[in-house]
Amino acid sequence: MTSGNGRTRTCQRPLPRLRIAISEPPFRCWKVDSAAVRSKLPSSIARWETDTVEPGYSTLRRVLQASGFDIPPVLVPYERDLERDAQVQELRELTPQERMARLLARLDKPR
Amino acid sequence: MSQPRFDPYAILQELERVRCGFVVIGGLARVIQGSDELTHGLDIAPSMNKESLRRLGQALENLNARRVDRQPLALDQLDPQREPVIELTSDAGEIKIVPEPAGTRGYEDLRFRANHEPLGHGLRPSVASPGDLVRMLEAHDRQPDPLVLETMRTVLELEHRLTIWRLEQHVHSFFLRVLLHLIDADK
Repeated sequence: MTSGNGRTRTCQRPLPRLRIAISEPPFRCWKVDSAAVRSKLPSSIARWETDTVEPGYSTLRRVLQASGFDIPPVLVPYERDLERDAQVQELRELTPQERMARLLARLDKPR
Repeated sequence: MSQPRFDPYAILQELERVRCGFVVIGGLARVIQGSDELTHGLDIAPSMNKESLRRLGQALENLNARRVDRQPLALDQLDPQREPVIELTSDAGEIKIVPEPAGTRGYEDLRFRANHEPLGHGLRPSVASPGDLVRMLEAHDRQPDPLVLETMRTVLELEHRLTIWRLEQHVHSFFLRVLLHLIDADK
């Protein structure tokens, strides 16, 4: 979240991806204006923003720390939801037209 | 007053008929890309080109669209900072105009990665890519439904795997062709 003057104040939710605004604040999460970011070429930051490339872990931490945040290097157990994966896979096998038809059929169903 | 039945085909047909620039975003885009959720409206990121906005206005008029807050629909005065979302009701259901969806720079940013998805009825609207849809969910002020977000991340992962697989197939077929060419040249 950004305050009126554009400085980062609080971040109320975990941010799985890096979001940086260079001049205008197109992203609502952060506004970073620090030496760490200024030392990066705007084009390389733009590539991070569009997921063309992902910054390395140490670069990411440097930028985060310069903006008053950090990612604690803590491992947490992760378990894949195989049921959801199978469901998504099944839906991906449908054509976009079939997915639309499925949605409309579900909307038409009496609740 | 009962809600009008959501008919995305009617809305998309009208938008395509007037040939305005837009990218489908939000719940419907996620459904088209493979999410298993229910949505009752169509969200679009419109092109901010003046002529395109004029055509969009015309399409919305044909759909009998009105703003939910009963304000006049002045598309030529769209200001994403002042009014990030314009909610409308129409004869074909809810429509949301989002000039600058969270985490993106709007239509010009989205359209390069968007795909023209064939939806039937001769429609191939531009639909935001799974990557952009995940980005919008992550950057939204409102906490996204974790199930929807995780589903979209899985869709994105499958999309990446498919892209790599396609690339591998291209490389394999290229080398196979080169090999066959060399065998032919040897004969």
